[in-house]
Amino acid sequence: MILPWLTPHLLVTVLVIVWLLVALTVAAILLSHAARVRTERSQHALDEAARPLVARFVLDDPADPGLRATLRDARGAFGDRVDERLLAVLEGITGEGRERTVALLVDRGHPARLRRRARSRRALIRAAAIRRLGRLALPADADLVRRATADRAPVVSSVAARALAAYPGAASAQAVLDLLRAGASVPQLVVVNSLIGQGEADEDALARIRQGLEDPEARVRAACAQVLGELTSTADAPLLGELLRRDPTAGVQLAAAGALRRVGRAGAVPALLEGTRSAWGPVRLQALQALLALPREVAAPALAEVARRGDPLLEPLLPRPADLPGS
Amino acid sequence: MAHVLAVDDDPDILELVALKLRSAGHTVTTAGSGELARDVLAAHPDIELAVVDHMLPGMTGVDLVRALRAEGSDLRVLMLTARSQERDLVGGFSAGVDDYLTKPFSPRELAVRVRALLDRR
Repeated sequence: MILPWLTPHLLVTVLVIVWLLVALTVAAILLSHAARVRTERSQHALDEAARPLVARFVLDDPADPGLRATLRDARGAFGDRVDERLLAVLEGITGEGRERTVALLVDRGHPARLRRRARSRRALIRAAAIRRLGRLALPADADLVRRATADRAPVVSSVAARALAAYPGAASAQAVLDLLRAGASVPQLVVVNSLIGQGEADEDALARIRQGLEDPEARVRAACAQVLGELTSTADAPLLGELLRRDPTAGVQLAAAGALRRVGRAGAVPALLEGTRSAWGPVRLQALQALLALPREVAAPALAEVARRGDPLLEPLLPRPADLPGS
Repeated sequence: MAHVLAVDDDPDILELVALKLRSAGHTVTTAGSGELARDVLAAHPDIELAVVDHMLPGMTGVDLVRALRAEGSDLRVLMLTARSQERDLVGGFSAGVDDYLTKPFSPRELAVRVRALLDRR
């Protein structure tokens, strides 16, 4: 016998143990799934009950003067769903309804709970709290949200950068740019959208974004150029033209040319013409696109010069000489 | 007062829009997707106006409007759109959107815009 200790009895015992473990694992999975389904159903039912009450409250339904007290005093699982529904509505509305909703959440003690959760050891809990504080946009929480951009967990710093759109100002724009400069793994789109929101709402934030065009870090300069292009103020065209001419980094030149495509004007033509001579193909293409976006009578001499150069990358995009004014 | 269709995949906003329009005296039917909206419109030919969210999952708001116009529908359409999607509205208008409102929006303004669109009849 090769394995004298492998008796039939031992074999059966091992098989029974394995089967028992499999059965226990399956049972645990099924029980956990059932519990999750039950929780989801219960939450769904509570949401269905809370939603019409919240909508009536937001719209200030005069038929139910006791509605505010009902919602203010809601506790337990239903209270949690009321908080969630109130926060969800904040995403979509503005005006009196929004102010009324924020005031109710404050009365319910929700911001205080969020501030506690923002100090949780678990990153996902901190991130959820910061996201909700951003929706509330209470001035008292601006510093807390700004500090969260330096959180060690990227999920939290990313959420904080997004939330700062609700706290526009020089300090918030600076916090987002610092995050970008630090090379944090925050999506560029989050950074750009936060800065666009701030630049639209606040002159000081806009000034800080303009200063970012001179930042030592190329990704900051590129992001600021992109944001200024998205804000579509032609007043920024000279700054962007200078960036396109002088910046040594292809990514920054590309962002500047892309921005000029949106905000370009006659004064930007020399910089764009220079951009069409760049060593980098994408920059040349973007600069040409920006020239093509200008009124044809403004861009015609520059387009004619590009055509004379015979750049094979740009030629297919150029208008026929007969279509240029003055030809 | 008119029969209005509200289309949004966000149930909280949908509830709010429906309630606001009902309080303004309209009859409101709701749908959570573009596909459902088409079914509702087929079942309720008396619907005169639709408030449609731009970012619907699957069939977007613009897709829905384009499909309706291709079928010859003259339904008035007010589109709800996020501020970051404002640029896409050029495509929306060319698809046949009559007016739009940027989210976050004031419910009062929503009711006024709906009234104005209905008055254009």
